[in-house]
Amino acid sequence: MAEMVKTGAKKKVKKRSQLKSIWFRFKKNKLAMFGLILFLMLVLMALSAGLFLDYDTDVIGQQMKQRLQFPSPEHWFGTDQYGRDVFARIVWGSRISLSVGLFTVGIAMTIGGAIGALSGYYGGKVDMVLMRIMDVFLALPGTILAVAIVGALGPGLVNVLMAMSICRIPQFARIVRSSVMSLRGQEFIEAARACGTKDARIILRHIMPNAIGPLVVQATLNMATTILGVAGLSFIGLGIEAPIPEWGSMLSEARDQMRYYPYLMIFPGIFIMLSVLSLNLIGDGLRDALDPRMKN
Amino acid sequence: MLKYIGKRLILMLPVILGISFILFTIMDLTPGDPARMILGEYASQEEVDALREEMGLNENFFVRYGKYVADAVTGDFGTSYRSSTPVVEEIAARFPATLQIALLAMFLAVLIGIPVGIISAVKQYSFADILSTVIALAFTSIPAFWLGLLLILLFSVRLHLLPAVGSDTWKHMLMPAVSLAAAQMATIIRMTRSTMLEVIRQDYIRTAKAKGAPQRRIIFHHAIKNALLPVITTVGLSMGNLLGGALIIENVFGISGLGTLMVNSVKSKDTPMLIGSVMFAAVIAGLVNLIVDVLYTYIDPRIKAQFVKKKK
Amino acid sequence: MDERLLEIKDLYVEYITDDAQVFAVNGIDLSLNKGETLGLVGETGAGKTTTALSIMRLLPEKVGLIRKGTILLDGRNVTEATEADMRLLRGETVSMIFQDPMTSLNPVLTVGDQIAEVLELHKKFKTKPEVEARVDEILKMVGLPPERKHDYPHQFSGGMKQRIVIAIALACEPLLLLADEPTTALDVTIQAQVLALMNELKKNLNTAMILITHDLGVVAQTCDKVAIMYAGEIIETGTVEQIFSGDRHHPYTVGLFQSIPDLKKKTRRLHPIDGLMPDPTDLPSGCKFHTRCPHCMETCKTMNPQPYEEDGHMIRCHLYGQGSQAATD
Repeated sequence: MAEMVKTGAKKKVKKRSQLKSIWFRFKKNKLAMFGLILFLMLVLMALSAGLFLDYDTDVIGQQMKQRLQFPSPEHWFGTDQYGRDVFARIVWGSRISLSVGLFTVGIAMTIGGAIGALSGYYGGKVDMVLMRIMDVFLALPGTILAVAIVGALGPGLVNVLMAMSICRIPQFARIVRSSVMSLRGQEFIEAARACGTKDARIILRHIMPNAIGPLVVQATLNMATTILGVAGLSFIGLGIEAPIPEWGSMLSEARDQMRYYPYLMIFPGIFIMLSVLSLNLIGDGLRDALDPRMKN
Repeated sequence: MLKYIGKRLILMLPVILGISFILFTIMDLTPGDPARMILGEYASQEEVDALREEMGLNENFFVRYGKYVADAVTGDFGTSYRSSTPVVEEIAARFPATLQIALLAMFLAVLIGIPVGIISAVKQYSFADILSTVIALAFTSIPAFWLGLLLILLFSVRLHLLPAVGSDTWKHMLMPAVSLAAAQMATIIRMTRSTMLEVIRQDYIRTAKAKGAPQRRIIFHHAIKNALLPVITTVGLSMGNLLGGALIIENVFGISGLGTLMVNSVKSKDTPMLIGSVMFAAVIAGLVNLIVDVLYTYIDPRIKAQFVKKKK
Repeated sequence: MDERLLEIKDLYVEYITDDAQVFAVNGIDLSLNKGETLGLVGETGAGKTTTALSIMRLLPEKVGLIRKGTILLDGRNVTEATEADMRLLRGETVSMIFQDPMTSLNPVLTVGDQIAEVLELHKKFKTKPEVEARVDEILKMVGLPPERKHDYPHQFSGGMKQRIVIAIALACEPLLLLADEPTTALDVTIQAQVLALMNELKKNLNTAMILITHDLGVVAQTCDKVAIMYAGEIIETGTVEQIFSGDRHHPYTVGLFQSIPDLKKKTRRLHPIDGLMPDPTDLPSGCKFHTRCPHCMETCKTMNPQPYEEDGHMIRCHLYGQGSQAATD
């Protein structure tokens, strides 16, 4: 008994040090740290938006007297054709983009992860059927699938979220499946099975912690593509609709004015790019930190 | 090899069938009556009901889907609810513009991405490497449609060099192709660089050095072929992304291609048109992937050997 | 009088990475005559491969660095040669067989092309048919049917791949062959075959060889001279007879011999050397072996022993020579 406790403790220490060494390697990667800081700033921006902005007056309230003003100390990013402060809208927009990204990835990871785990763990017919279905989804380019789903459900925040989630499921399913398959045959899983551990427990307690690395990397990079995708959908009018200050739909609105008021389309674009960039940098950094062998 | 191609083509069929089924289901769940849409707001209910009967819309879901598939097999993908032209005709009319842009984008991405990636790897940590890494990072993060807008702003609005909308001449194709290519190019740069770096560290490269082979020969004769294998797969899979990207890029540049066709059919609930065009896009993406996989076997003897074995 | 082929003097090699400075080779002297075979023996990480790569000047770029010393190869100083000069030497004067044949061959080129390449690089023949004829000849020499030159590496077994690697290494009949554990990655039955092949070819071509191994049995079979490396230093060197049967040895050598089974003697168990090789980023002071040495004295902890020599049998240990005190300078 005492020995068991001891080995348990040892395992914990090792795990912590593993996390620590991942963090250590991540920290040394300047680009990744830059990405992390950038991302934290965006998160901070999103969280604090509610503190000094009132949605109805500052974000969607129209003030036609001040329409289309160029950037000034008063309106840092200028005002749009309805006299709304672009900076306020962009700040509020970060809430939309980040939360859509987060929820999409969360949903896709949960469902996709479950499908992948089942598929990889049981193999055989279950795997066959599930993976063929995933193949169908994968054969469709992400944007096209999203457009089709949004087309069916109609535009709007929740529908876009659902469409994007569905598009992302197959990728997570694949990653988890391959991790699970490579782990399934290993001795410690056999040992757990020999002890009579339930399948669900084996998957959740023994396999998933070991598969988490690539999953986190995929989640980060996927959040970046989701933000891009949502902005794209909104831009063509099949996503989040005005007056909600989604960056893509802001660009869509700014388009008509771009000849004379180009600043309107510069800032939302920069913010889409920054948030995508930060997530890409974090994802790359995590991948390198998790797999130091691949680091150049 | 032919057997392999045939097998791959057959394997594509269930996927296509799956896509059509999913889309058919999605569109069926969507509120809105196609008959009403065709006849317009002012048609009487009797007329609408008559048309519904004629179109077979009152039948069971599976019967309708079965009919659709049966027709599709004969090459009849239905007629557009909106324009009442046959779906096939409409796609044939719209596709060339999209294909041109997508192929040009692919070409640009490969033509720039691979050499830049190789240089970046060979001259690791040099100024050129850092520059290309930064550019690649920026391009993977830039929204293609925003890049398109910026290009319009610069080349059409300010410099008056290129036309902003339309798809008539090669000049029209340039900006859409570049916007579409940017992200793909960035991916290719990053991928080429990392695989090249990995290959350079392989034992067989050391063997080549031990033979006294000069640097140039090591890179061109020994490393590139090995390094490009994973890159080629990426290129093959990129067609799907490009067609998906065209959906939005065509909107930016006002090109009436397959992408705008899809978006419009979604917006107007034009089910046959949507299913037809999406299936078509999937088939094209699949075919390009297949072509690239076949090319792959000419480079990698290990894969080629598998086919030879299978043939026996 | 034998002709000197290789003369290494006071060689220091370091690996410099972001995290650490690794002292891989620390002041070795080594010499080899034409046609001779030297066994370079030691544990993993003792600096054997680093020594061989230094001779080839193939240390990992920007990381591996020859800090000090000279390597005279056939009269030319390798440490100061230009990269272009080195290219001429590699493959023609000196060639190397690497440890793992599975990864040493380029998977996308036919083995024939890979053998022909070294001939073409060194302009051994003027015409393509001549090169092809030589490729056939070499393949036969290493016991492979020449028709198989059109095959790719993945179509060969490990032992056959190593034969191809040997064929590449010997194609230009080099003066010196560096064989870095050429049999470690192979099955035991194949090991003997490959070793026999190398021995035979070496004799026919009068090629000198440095055989890197940790298998003392292999050394006894094939080598004329032996050098034993520990923590980047050569701690004992001599002829095979001196090392295998002499009565004065470095305690590490003694330990090595005790850790292999001897069929003639009745021993109940093997005597492995306690402890591990010191961390090459943080080597101990004095004699590098003192942390594991059963005869460790006070001087060993502070002072690196001077070489003690007797009939060309060199031992680097405070136990021998003028005594620990006299060795001070």
